[in-house]
Amino acid sequence: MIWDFFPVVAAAHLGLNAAALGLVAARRPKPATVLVVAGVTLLAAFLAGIWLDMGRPPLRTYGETRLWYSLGVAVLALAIHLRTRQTWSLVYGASMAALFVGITWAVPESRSRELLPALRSPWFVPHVTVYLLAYAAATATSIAALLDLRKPIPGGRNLDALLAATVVLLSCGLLFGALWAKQAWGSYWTWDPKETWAFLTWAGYTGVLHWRRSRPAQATAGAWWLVALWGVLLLAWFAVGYLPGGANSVHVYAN
Amino acid sequence: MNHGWFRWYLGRTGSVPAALVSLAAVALHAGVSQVAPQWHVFGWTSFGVSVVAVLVNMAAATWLRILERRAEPGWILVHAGLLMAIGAALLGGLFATRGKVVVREGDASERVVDDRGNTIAKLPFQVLLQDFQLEESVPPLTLVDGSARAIVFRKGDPVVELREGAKGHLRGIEFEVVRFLSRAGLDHDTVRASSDSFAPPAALVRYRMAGAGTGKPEFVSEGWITSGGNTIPTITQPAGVVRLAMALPPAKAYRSVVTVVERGQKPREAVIEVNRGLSLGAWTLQQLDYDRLAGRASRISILEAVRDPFAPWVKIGIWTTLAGIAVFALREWRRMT
Repeated sequence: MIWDFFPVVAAAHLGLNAAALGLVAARRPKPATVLVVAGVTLLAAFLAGIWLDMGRPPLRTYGETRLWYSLGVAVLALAIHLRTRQTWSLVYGASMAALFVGITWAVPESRSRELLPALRSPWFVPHVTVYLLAYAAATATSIAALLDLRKPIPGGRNLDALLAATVVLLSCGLLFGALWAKQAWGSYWTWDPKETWAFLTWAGYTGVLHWRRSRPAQATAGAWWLVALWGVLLLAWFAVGYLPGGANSVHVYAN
Repeated sequence: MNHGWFRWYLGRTGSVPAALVSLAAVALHAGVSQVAPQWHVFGWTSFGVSVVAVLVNMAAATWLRILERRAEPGWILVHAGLLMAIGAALLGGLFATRGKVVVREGDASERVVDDRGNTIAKLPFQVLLQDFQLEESVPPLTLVDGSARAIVFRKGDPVVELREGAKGHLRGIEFEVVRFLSRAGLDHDTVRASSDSFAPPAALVRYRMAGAGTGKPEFVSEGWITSGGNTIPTITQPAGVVRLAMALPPAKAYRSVVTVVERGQKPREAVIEVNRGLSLGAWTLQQLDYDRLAGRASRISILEAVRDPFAPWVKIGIWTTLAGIAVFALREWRRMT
């Protein structure tokens, strides 16, 4: 199995991103960007390899989704950097991508080639990948909010754009999920624990988006909420299975 | 309707603070429901009221923006779409009929029952179950304790699917699948391929306990393992303090081959599968479940029957919202500097 090569891939990925962080610290963003691109390419190739090898989209277990998240944060960070030329996005992209690849390396999990019947749907890949991109954007938003609280940027334009991207992606993930749920279970929405936490995350980021746009002068309060909301997001992603009633969620596939 | 007081009213009910309060009320209900069932804390009425408050807010805000001609297309599509989707879903929750149709192979049913088995509706047609089909995945290897009563396989242990030729390591046990039979039976104490379509799979496993460094001699053995069924009892193999066993094969896909019989109409054959429901007039049938104990031998199919006149409006609302999100995203990308 190609998964057997993961320690080598993970070590190389961590090395590339660590070197990129060093170059950003040395105020050399161009070679740092090249290294982040190399990390993205390596991870994308590995994901494509395990997809082909396992014969199913590698989006089923927490470990597999963490790799997509790592890919998503790095791609998003590169897009922000190329658009705005701000180096904080490279720091965010390289460190978060490396962190989540590192967690996947450190936490072993059972891997199966099989896919449950409910996951055999054309909505599986768009729903999960859009959500992982949303999580990447939400992380960037929360980090940007934290930076903004320390040293406000006049206008806060980038934070608002990131927040908008987060809400757009979370909304798409939620709606794709509803369309899929109708096909699989006959209902668009059932207030299943995972759905409920997905709604809470969406409501939080959407609420702050409305607050910041209607009260630009009081945007700082919204920034604190954005920092706190990352905790809600992590809860929705990883901890639902451990919450009361979570074990009965129809979304718990990893076990 | 352009009176000043009406605009004032729309301005208040459609304001962002009103949106945040109503959204927070829904989120509070939803959040509390994760700790305690919400009907024990607030009740469905207050939950419904908070959802209606969100709808009133969106309706007022949309109306006001149209009146004042300051509506951006993305904004209008997102809010009007959500209004339609949530409103239709709420009405569906009040007026839709949802239940199960439990049908045996060779039998027909028109009864829609609730969880207690009480009839709640009758379909305008009968569903005759011709065949229930279940495809199984390749079963994984598992570990059970010495008495073969409890599974000791842990999360994080590698999953080894018992395909022919598969090799792996599990807790110091090195093994290889020498042969795999998708249907096995016992013939005079010898495991052989079986023609019984409900026979369980079996795998011939060669395994070795690594003795290197432990001071213990290396132990090599070979034997059949199977989860057991109608043609063969469960077989496990000893490997030190644990035993190698075959987990029950998980379902890969399951479907019902049915004939829909409606008075005055020609019988119609259809296949109902997970993610592939069947719409017939006002009703939609989904593949829900089967007899889990019988597994592949299940002769019962459990279908979900839903009659929701508002469901098409939910779908239109969702796609309208997605279109609005696309317009909004494009505008935001252009604004980003």
